Amino acid sequence: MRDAEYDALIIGSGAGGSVAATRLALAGWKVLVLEQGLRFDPARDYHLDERDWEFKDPFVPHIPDTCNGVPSRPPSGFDHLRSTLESSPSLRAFHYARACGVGGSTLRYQGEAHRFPPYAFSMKSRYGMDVDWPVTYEELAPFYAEMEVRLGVAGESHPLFPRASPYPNPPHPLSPASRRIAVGCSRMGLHLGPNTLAILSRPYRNRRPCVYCKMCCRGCMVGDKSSADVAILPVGEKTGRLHVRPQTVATRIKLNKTGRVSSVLALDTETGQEFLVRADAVILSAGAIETPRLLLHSAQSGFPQGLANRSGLVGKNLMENIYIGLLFLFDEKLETYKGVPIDSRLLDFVKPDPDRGFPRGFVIASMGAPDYLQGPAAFALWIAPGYGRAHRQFVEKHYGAHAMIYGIAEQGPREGNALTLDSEDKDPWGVPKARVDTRLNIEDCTLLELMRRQCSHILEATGGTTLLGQYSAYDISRATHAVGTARMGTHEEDSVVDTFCRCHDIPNLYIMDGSVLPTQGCGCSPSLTIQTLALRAAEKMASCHGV
Amino acid sequence: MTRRAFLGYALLALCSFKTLLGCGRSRTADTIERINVMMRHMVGVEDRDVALFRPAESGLESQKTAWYGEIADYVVRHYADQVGVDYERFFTQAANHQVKNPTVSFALDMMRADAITAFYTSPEGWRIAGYQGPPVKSTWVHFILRKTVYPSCNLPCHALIDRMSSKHQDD
Repeated sequence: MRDAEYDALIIGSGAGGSVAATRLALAGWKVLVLEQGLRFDPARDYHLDERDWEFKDPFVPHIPDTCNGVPSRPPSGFDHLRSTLESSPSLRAFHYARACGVGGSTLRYQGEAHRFPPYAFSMKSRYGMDVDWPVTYEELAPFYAEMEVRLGVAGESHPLFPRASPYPNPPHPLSPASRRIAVGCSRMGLHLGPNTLAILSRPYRNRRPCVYCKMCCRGCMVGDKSSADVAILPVGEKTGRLHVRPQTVATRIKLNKTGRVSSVLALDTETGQEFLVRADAVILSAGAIETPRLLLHSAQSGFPQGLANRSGLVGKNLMENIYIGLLFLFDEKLETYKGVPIDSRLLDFVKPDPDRGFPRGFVIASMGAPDYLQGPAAFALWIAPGYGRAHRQFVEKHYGAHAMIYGIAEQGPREGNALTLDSEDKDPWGVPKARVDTRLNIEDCTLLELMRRQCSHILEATGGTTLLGQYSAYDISRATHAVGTARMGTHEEDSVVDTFCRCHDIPNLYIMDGSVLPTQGCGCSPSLTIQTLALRAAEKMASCHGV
Repeated sequence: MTRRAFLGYALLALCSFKTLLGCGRSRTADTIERINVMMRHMVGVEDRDVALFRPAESGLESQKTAWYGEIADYVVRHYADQVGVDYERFFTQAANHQVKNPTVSFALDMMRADAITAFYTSPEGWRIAGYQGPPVKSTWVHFILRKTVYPSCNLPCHALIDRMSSKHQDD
């Protein structure tokens, strides 16, 4: 490819990048999106129709090795929080769970499309913790609504998330497993309701509804899950002004003498050929690890500590998931391997409540069989004990009766949880890997304990269940909601981007991904908020700059 | 031709002839059959006539035949009486880590994983588990049935309708 010029260059085609690219293309901008992964073809690359589908993950083989977690010892005194269903390592290291491909991690997300509750934007002023966002729920509400329409979100209104109109699609019905748990919850005075999902519950805009195969994490073959490659990018590509270039990695951002981005050095990972892309505006949407890695690697005159890093906050305040899940058996088979992956959630604890003894909120959800134990072979291999007839009888009796209830909470932003460049280890393209050092503290462990206790109480109230064991972030990190490494804010000394995702230090450089989130939304999933911020920022770009 | 060369050629011909008759394969075939019998007991499906082990020719897969064969032989040697091989006793001891042979204990987990995976990724295994099975290939038939007779059916097989145009034409 020869050097090329665009109105906007976007690095990364996931939740944020796809929305920005499409919005700008619709506004008449000529847009190029660089995506380091493949463009997956559901017909060719997803495996649901193959005999050993449950052991084939289309995404994992294509995730480049770009990130090293630093092992650390979790706080002592919480050994009861260790995972019991996998070998529990004594040291814990950050693991970045993602997908690389056109659509980014929305390729494997489970379709959760949550708004953040209004108070999540003002944690500092309301609860004296973390930081306040520079935007409010009310400012984001119309953009949330627009994204929900684009994604065809299925859900049920809830007073915690004020909205002007109903969701575009009705909620998915609760699975038999969740209906049982909902009864237990109601005995405790709690309410387990349908989850809010970017998974179609009825035909919508020429797309088919979900068939409840529960394969979201391995790639949706029907196209009912509103991943970016299905629900967002085709709209932009249809304009003829949006071009997505897969298998291309950005390796360095270059500035001109006036301190603006002039070009980006890119590399075709198939041919190894390097080329420059010039654009009037550059948007980083590579996620909370890759975006700061590229900024730090692009250090140059004027920015010796990394681009857009005069605040010193690029790479800091990394927040990962705080989760704990209890795997259990119902006393009857409930076809728990079918349905949407996370069909229900309980919001009674999502509001921080100092009276609970700990002022931070969390979400509890029920998911039937988790994706890694969905098929009979995985269940027979990892859950059914022993050999011979006893093994067979266990599978016969309990497969389809296994389910998980879990809690997920936000992790507070802490400067010590940070990524830097690993000077001794490089990725396949010669760029230093990210060295990610995140540690749990007593607060995180207390949250884990609180969530574990609530999940146990709910199972007791449900009755007719047998606990098999637990998975826990205490010893095993699986960061699917990594955010916070280039936070937004009003002042350039304590934030990296402004309220419209523009870098304080570089006027034509933007960040539109999870990096900009100042906090994690009390356990709600971040993808819809990332998309909403990107939509709002792209609208601002389009209105300010025109074509 | 010297006498020595003649004997050499004669021996080679005899070996080739035995191989052609199937005699050369008999030991391997016996081993594979013993492995399959043991694997069926391993997953408790000795009442089913299913082949759970099909040796491949390369790398670790070919080595497995030797390892699994050794386990099967070990069980026959140590757990057989006049009635037959007592697999249940062996598996009970294996579950309690009481099998002391290092090769057996090394490869037993691998053998279990292979047996379970082979069985429970098959329609036979799905039936035992009560799983409705992955999508069927006769997608068009299913699609038409869903349109006409079973509109409420939500089996994942309908997911395949989009795939007919590319992947299955390649098959």
